[in-house]
Amino acid sequence: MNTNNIETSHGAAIGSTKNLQLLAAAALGMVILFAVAFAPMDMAHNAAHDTRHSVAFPCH
Amino acid sequence: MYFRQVFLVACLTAIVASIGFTLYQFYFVTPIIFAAEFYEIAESVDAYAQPEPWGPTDGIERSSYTLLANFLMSLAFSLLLACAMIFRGESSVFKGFAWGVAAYLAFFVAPSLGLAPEIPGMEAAELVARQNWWFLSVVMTAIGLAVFAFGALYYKGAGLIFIILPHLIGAPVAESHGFSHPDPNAVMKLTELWHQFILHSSIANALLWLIIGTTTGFLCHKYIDVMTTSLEPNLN
Repeated sequence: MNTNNIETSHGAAIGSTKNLQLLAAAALGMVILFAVAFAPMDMAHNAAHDTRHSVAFPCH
Repeated sequence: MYFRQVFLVACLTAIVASIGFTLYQFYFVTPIIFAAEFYEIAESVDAYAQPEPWGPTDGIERSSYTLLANFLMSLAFSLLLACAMIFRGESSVFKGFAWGVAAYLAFFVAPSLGLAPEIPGMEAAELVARQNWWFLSVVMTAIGLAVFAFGALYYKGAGLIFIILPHLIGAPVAESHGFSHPDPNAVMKLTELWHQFILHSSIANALLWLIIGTTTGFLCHKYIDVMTTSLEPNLN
């Protein structure tokens, strides 16, 4: 991407959505973390069992 | 653009971190889990026969699922760390290291002080109560550390209160903590395994956060700071 040509309005728009995008990425992180660490289904628990124990997530 | 770059940084970090963490885990941590499960299985032979839900068979299949779970967990941790670091400004390897240390304290040390890492076969309080307390201690410690690090001098004491509060509330404890195995020799062996497990899981998690912190810091600086600085002159 050639950032030298970005016009003021475009640059401002990207700057103003920065926090929104960071929030979205963090939310995705939370969803993945909860699936690996806390999903109560037996299949998810058994597949991630050794990880849950190793990282000291409450298990069983 | 930020979302895509953060996701890319987190993916690359997760590849490195999950390989490093899985290797340590494979040689030092999971053998302890397997040894503890040996007693757990021996114990449950007489229990009511219930249909077993699906689980990966021991060996390469189980290790592969563990690697996958480690990758996803590292991806999630790196996403959160990268977002926090970028929100605070520029990144570097050293800043990443500092964030990694803080995350190790928040995600591993603080919850482990109330709910020590457990091996299979241990008596413990109700799962949901423990998960709630785990979440509470992680969030409160993270807020406390953030206030302590970034807050005005006047408020730094409040950070300590956040960190201590979950421990004042207290982690849920089982009525009889320890091992319910009927054989005293097995209980002795399991207790020994448990102590080893606490040591090795502490080292494994320190290694995990060391890799996630420094790699995320390095990659954020390489791929995201460049983007930010090239945009800044146009923002006025």
